[in-house]
Parts: sequence; C-alpha cells; structure tokens
Amino acid sequence: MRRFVGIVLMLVAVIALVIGTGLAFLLGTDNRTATGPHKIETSAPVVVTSPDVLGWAGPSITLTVDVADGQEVFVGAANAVDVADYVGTVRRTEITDYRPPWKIETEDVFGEDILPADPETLDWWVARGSGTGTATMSVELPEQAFALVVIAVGGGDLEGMRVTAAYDLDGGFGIGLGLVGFAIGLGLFGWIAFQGRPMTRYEELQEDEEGAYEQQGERR
Amino acid sequence: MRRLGVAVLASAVLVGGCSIPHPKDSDGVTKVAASRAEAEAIYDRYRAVRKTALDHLDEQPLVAVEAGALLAIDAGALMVARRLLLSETPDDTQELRILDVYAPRLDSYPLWFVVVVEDGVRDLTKVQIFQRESSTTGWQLVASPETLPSTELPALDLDASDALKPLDPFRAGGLSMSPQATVDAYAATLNGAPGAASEVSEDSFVTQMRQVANKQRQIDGVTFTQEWTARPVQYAARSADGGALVFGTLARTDRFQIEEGRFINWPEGSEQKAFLSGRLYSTGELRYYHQILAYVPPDEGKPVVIGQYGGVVDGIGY
Repeated sequence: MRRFVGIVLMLVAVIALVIGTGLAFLLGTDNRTATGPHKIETSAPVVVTSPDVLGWAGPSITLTVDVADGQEVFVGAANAVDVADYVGTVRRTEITDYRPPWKIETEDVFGEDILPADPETLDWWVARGSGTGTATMSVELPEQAFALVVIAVGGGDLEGMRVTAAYDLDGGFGIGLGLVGFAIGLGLFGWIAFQGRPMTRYEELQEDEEGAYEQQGERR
Repeated sequence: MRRLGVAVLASAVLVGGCSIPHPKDSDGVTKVAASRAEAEAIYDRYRAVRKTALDHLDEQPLVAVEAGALLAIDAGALMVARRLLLSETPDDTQELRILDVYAPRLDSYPLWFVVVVEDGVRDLTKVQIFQRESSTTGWQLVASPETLPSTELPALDLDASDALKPLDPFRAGGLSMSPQATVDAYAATLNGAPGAASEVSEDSFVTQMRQVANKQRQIDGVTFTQEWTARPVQYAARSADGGALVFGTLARTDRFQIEEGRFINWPEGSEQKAFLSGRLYSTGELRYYHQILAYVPPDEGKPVVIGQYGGVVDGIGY
C-alpha cells in the first residue's frame, strides 16, 4: 500500500513539474505569451468572433490589429448579444473556430457594407481601441458570452488585416515556479513513501532484541 | 498522510483562486439586461430629461427617454398642462428613488428590465420598465404603472444568477390564463355590462373605469359610448409563488354623439377642454391609454390589477 501511494505521489509530482515548468517557460517573467502577426483573409468591413469561439474565461488578452496605411480601424470586445445585434446585418468575416496558439477557421457572411452606428458612440463595449493603420485593445475574458470585433471605420475594408495576440496571466510565472517547488516536495515525499518509512531508534533496538532471542533459542 | 492532503487542498485553492483559464458557465449566448449600477445611471439620465420636459411643459425632450404608450400618455398630460396652465409656473418637483431592480437574462434585443421606484412627491410606487430596442439605441421608459404604497408587490422569481424569469405572453403554464389573455379579459370586462360574468377580478381599476363611464353617460342630450381594446403584451415575469406579473396596455376610446341643437361646454381645467377646445356641437372622440400591472395567480385564481397609469393621448371633435 505504501509503495502504491508513493508511486501515485511521484506521478502527480511529475505532472505538476511539467505544468509548472511549461507555464513559467511559456509566460516568462512578464507573465505574457504572444503569437503573431497572423494574416486573416477577408475583404469585409467587419471581422468578428462567433460566440462559442471564446469558450474560456480568465486570461487577459491583448489584440493588436494592423490594417492598410490610412485605414481607420476599431477593435472592441463586448457581450455576444450586443455584438450579434450590432453586426447582424453587416457583411462580415466570422471566425468560427480558434485553437491556441493560432489556428482559425473563418466564414464570410453577406450583408450591407454600412454599420448601423459608429462603434465609438456605443456604450456597451467592455474594452475597445482605435487608430489609423493599427489599433490595440486589452481585455480579460469574462464569464459571459463574449465576442471580439474588428471594424473598418469610415468605409473601406479590412483586407490585409494582421493580428497579434498576447495572452496575459497575472502571476502566471509565480504560479509556475510554485508548482515546480510543490512538485519537488511532493516527489520527495512520494520517494520516501516508495522506499519505506525510515526506522526509529526504538524500532532498531526492538529488532536487535528479537534477533538475540532467536539466537538463544537456536542454542537451546 | 493528513498533512499531505492539506497541502494538496491548499495548493488547489491557491491555484483556483487565480485567473486560471477555465471553461465558461453554461448560460449560453445571453445577457442580463442591466446591472443595478447601470440601472441607476439610466435612471439618472431619465430624471434629468424628465425635469427638463416638466420645466418647459414640452414633451419633445421625452422622446429620447420614453417610448410607446407611455410617451403618448405623458405627452398628452404635458399638452393638457400647457393648454390649461400656461400662466402658472409648472411644478417640476420630483423625488424618485430606486427601490429594486430586476433584470432578465435575454438572448436577443430588445433588452428590458424592471425598476421599482418610490415617488416621494406623489406618495406612490412606480413599477417601471426600461427597454432598449436595439444595440444602437438608448434606453427608454416604456411602462410605468403606479401602485399605492400599501400595495405589496408579489415577490418575483429569480434564477440562480439572480436574473428575473421572463414569461412568454402567450403561454399560460401554471397560470389561470396567459399574460395576453389576461389583458384581453380586462378589455372584454370593461366592454361588457357591469355584473356580467368576468374572467378577471372586480378590482378597483374596473370599478374606477366604470364610474368614469357612468359619469359621462349622465350628460343630457349626449349618446356616450366607450370601447376598450388590448394591445400586445410584451413584458411579463414569473412571481415566486408560481403566478405572474403582467405589464399590459389598454386603449380606450370615448365617443360623444350630441343631439341636434345641443352642445357640450367642457369644464375649465378638464382634459376634454384641452383636447376638444371650445364647445362640442356634433361629435367628439377622446382616446386614452391605460397601462396596467396585473397579478395573475397560479392555477385557478382570477387576475387582479394592482397598479395602473393612464391618460388622454388624442382627441378630435366639432
């Protein structure tokens, strides 16, 4: 039984070590990992993520979008219900699947080229950014159904759009190191359990006495 | 072994407490219409615009913050005030304090939420609904039935995330009748003769409306008719006891047919005087909206109106 517990503890320790090392290595001391720039094939004025694409909550992401020089661009994040109503009638490219670090599937949806309102005038954005030629936005992915949107403002389209995504995990490097330390401790504990518990001085004496009695018995 | 267990548990709690990526909850593509803080901000704007409208006895500012039947009622009231009280200083005093906010979790626009407001000036409670028609429009007040302070609102049913449970206007699951059927039944009752069998309670709203109609019928030389119609119900919510709160609107048309050689000289200060200015010699018609808040009990009980707000919205006569 003791050996079995030891093996299990060491297995858990190995998993924690791999995760901790990977996390610390991936995020580095700035708690951030980035991917890109990646080109998205589109000729639409809007690129939007489908609601089920961002099925995870917790991490903060920073999106930097680069478009043609002189093109005004807006990047925003909001509840998927707001976004669906806003871009529902507009010609757009929808990102229907995403796998980290960067593998996407897209679908072009037909519609009008004009948005019903200037995105800057809307009050339901959770995060947003805008600029000419490039725009950056940071947001922590919330529990609610969420969508990210990139919009070519003032006419034009997003042809040639490139996206750089950075994932931030507050304290991620520390968590990684903590997991490594935890794994080392757990591994040692498991090793001790696997080897067998060290004997105390009392147990050694008892064993010696038992040995002496056995020798006396043999003589008799 | 026990120490190890504690260490593993502590580590799990530590890691879980950080913003580790995790799958989202299972509420689907939905949105809680508004938080308490958002509702407060929306109401602050409404108060400011309403004050401007009252200051100038002008309904135009209200267009930005009110809509539908409620806007028509308030615009009618301001028009009456403007025509009849032009020389007096308008009373813009308002003491409106939010008591409760109930927002449903919805999967598409229009979004809406209920706000219970104490009106300190008029000593009553308003049960109001703000609606946002689309993602690009602002919040507008669309219903505002008023209840007496002594009227206790039924507790509303909330889901696990404290969101209000909205009710389909045409479904009567567990109720004596659906929300739409409730408002239809009130229209039928008010169109029927007093004492006739009714599917709704003979409550203070029904009594008051019948008294008003009877008073009009007593005018000599005038044939008075009144017609009630129910408008489509848009907002209804489950109450905690399995019943429902229904926000409905009834349209009322009062018609006056005057005998030849006679006329009506409306009393000073009356809404008829404002809308049908001068004497009425032949025919006249006044249209009203009445917003009602009806409680539909679970199972077999009859619905009862616990709040209402109404007024004249249009008139024509000669």
